[in-house]
Amino acid sequence: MLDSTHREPLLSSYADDPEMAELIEEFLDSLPVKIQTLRSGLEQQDFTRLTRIAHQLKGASAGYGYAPIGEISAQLEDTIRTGQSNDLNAISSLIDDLVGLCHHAMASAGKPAS
Amino acid sequence: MSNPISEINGQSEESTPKVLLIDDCPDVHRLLRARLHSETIELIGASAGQEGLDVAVEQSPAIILLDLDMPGMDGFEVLRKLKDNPKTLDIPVIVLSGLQSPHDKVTAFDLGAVDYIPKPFELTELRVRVRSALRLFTLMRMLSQKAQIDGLTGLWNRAFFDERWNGEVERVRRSKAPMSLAVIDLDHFKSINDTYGHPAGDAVIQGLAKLLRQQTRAADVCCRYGGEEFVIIMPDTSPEDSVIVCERVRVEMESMIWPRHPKRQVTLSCGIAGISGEPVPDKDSWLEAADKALYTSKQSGRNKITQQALDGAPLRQAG
Repeated sequence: MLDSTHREPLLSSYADDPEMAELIEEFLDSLPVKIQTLRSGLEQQDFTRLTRIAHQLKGASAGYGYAPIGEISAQLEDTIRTGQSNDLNAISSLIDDLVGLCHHAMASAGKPAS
Repeated sequence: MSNPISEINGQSEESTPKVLLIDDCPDVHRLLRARLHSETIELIGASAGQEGLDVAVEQSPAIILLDLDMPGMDGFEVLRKLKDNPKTLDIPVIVLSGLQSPHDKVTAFDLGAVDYIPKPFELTELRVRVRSALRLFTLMRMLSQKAQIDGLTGLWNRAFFDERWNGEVERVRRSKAPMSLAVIDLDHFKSINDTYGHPAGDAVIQGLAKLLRQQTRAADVCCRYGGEEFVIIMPDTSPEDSVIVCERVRVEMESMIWPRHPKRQVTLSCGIAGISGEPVPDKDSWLEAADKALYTSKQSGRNKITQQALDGAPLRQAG
């Protein structure tokens, strides 16, 4: 994983929209639980759970203005759905990327990455 | 009474139209709620296909926002089922999806969607598309109801009565609730037309329609059945209570002064058939019984109300 201090901050594309501020905040606060679900899902190879969380993250993150998180989530959902679930390396590496992006988004908003 | 004019201007009694969102992702519900909170709509939600279908039937929303990409029953299947059900067939559906392939859009439109909003939502676009679908809903409602309204009086017409009467009889067959049907006919109407001209006759028809609107209750369904004949469906009303309502109408009518012929009073005759606990007859014999009661009122001197039992003999007369 890249060190987030050397990257461009990952901010919501709706960061300037006052109507969205509170929702974005809640979304960021919900990320640690989602990260936890991704990690435990991978550990237990619970692909149903992983598909569901990837699907929800895909829809949600784009909606909150985090398109890059949405894109990786979509890739993850596709990879599991199209029967590549035996390719644990690919899945594991996508989850690493996803978790990295989530941490980066949290850090960019001044939230401690747990 | 159930007034067609007020039902045209938006949903009857409900001031804000309902918008149903069917999407499996809780975040989308929160986002849409935030994005649409300034619109005058009531947002209701369902998080899966089957639940969405159930809510659509129960609540008759003005429009449906439907996610295509859902686990289990997907949006295409939901759309197909919405369009297969006469109760939900006419509700405009806007499809929401991150699937960007032109093929999916074409499929959604082919299945009957009226519009397509890509995810993530562009705020202004989302709002104007929802507004546009609401306009479509209002226009469709107006058109379908215009075909059911009598032009002269603004009451429901014969076509509407036939459909509604059938539905109400089936309803009491299940609920066992009381219900009455009143048939009203103006006395010697032809002579008013012949003596004072058709505009005078029209004024009398309109005057009676206005009286019916004033004297009946919200749940009563007043229709102009034809020429000078009117029918009132009175749900949850025993024949005895129905007589009280119609008696008020009869008394008001005979005391009305008509500007075009102030010295000529106009009266009406009325026949009532209803049930309160008895077995429910079929809709045609019920209507015939009320008609027969009307005939008895005419035969016994007019300006009268007759209540007809549904097994034959006249029960009671007023007026």
